[in-house]
Amino acid sequence: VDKPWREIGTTLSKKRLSVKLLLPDDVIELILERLPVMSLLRFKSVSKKWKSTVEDRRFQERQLLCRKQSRGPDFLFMSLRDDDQIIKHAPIIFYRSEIVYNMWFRSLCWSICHGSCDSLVCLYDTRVGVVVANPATRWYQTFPLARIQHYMSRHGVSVSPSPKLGFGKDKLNGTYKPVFLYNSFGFVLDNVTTCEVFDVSTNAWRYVHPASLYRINAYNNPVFFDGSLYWLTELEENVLSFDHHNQTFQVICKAPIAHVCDPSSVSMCILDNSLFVSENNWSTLEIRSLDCSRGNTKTWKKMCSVGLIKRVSFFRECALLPIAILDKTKLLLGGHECTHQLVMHVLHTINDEILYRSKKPIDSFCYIQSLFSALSN
Amino acid sequence: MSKKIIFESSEGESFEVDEAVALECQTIKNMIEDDCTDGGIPLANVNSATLTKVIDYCKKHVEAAAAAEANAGDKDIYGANKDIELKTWDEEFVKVDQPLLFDLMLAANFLIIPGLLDLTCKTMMRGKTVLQIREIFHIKKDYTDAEEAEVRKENAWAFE
Repeated sequence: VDKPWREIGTTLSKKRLSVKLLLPDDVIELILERLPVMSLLRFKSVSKKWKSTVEDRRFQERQLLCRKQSRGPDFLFMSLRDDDQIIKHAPIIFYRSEIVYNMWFRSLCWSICHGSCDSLVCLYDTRVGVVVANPATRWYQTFPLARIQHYMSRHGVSVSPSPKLGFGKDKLNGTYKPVFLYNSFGFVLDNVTTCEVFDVSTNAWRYVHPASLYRINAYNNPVFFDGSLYWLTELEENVLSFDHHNQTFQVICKAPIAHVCDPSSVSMCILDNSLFVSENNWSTLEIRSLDCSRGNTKTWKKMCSVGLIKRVSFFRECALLPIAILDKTKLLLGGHECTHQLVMHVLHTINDEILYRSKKPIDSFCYIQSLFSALSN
Repeated sequence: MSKKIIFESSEGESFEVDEAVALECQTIKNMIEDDCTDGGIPLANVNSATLTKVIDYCKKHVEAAAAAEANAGDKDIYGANKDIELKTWDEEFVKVDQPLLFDLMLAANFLIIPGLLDLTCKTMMRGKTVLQIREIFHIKKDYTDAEEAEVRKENAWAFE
């Protein structure tokens, strides 16, 4: 009973140590949600409890939020063109200031939806169907061919530009949905446009009636933002939206451009939670944002024009696309499918700098690592 | 002369800090806004050693923010120059033993200092193997060897 004082001291401090370290579950989760995805995948083998935490949807949502708040987006580069024609590996590179790392993702797909939805990316190909993948966890799921993909592969039809897939999420029930919208002309179909949506509950594609009443600019990649996908229409140049929940199309406003000679020179993007339209006039890139602050009267505001003379080479690359606004003063430009570089432009100046140059064409967009899979709803 | 705030550690020791430094803690910020900081703020679950460190951290970050504002034009194209010095300071700051690191983490959680919470959590886990994690958190392995191998196999590339 009469232990020497020093001994009691050590027992006490030992006790304090072990008591302290038996942390309640919520504190453990607090620590875990701050870790990168790769560490979390490793720590799944710590215990059954930790595994189920990492696989819990609510935890995954908090992890994404934490990552968004603490470090902002990474940039994801995907290259779908590789030498191996049979099985293509898409190198996926995460980029954030000095850290660049490569990942290889096995897919046969030649096309990718521009942008990610909840950190999931969507690839597609007439041989494979549609693949939804999480590059950070390497989880992926393959969905069957859409009817248009069937048609193209059965009849050996190749149209240029080929129908583009959009990928988004129903905000209310949380289901992810790939959406094809294409002009019917050329595919022996009746209406002006045809829309197919993948239905997870039946594991099949179905038509949406009515689809858009206006032909769409077939060169455009649809963009997803806040529960809706957006396209530009042909000639009339309206902005068209598709609400993922109601499954309805709607023209929301005029586009800030009219009668463009080259429809491939126009594209849309989402920056800082607003819709932007950029127009590439060979030597300059004009970027305008949609101002919705006054309710139904939507107006376009010119954000900047970026001189591209330095960037135009003899072998003309695809137009650069705005990807992100950083620190409110810098615009990050990348591309879709045929661009080789990532450029940082300082707004309201003529300064820019190539951040990254790849040998192969890359698709680049903002991206935040998450643990999500499309199934875990 | 800036306003002072007085913290009281679990041992009853008083620490006087500038209001600007105390504002780094979201919890304290709310208390100051509600005007209930008179007569000091007792922090019954933060000991003196931890509190000293927490105050150091807040001071440094207040100074760094002020300096960054003064030299706003100095940034390079990435806007990251100034952050490097602070990052190095942060790294040195968390070179402490495991129990103190835990205390700092809990204090950051309680006082709501997002930067410090992030820093301590990441430091705690950085570069740790699964075995080390079990040791640190006193977690008993509840997998059979076969089950563990299976879970590892699923995510084998994350161990590369």
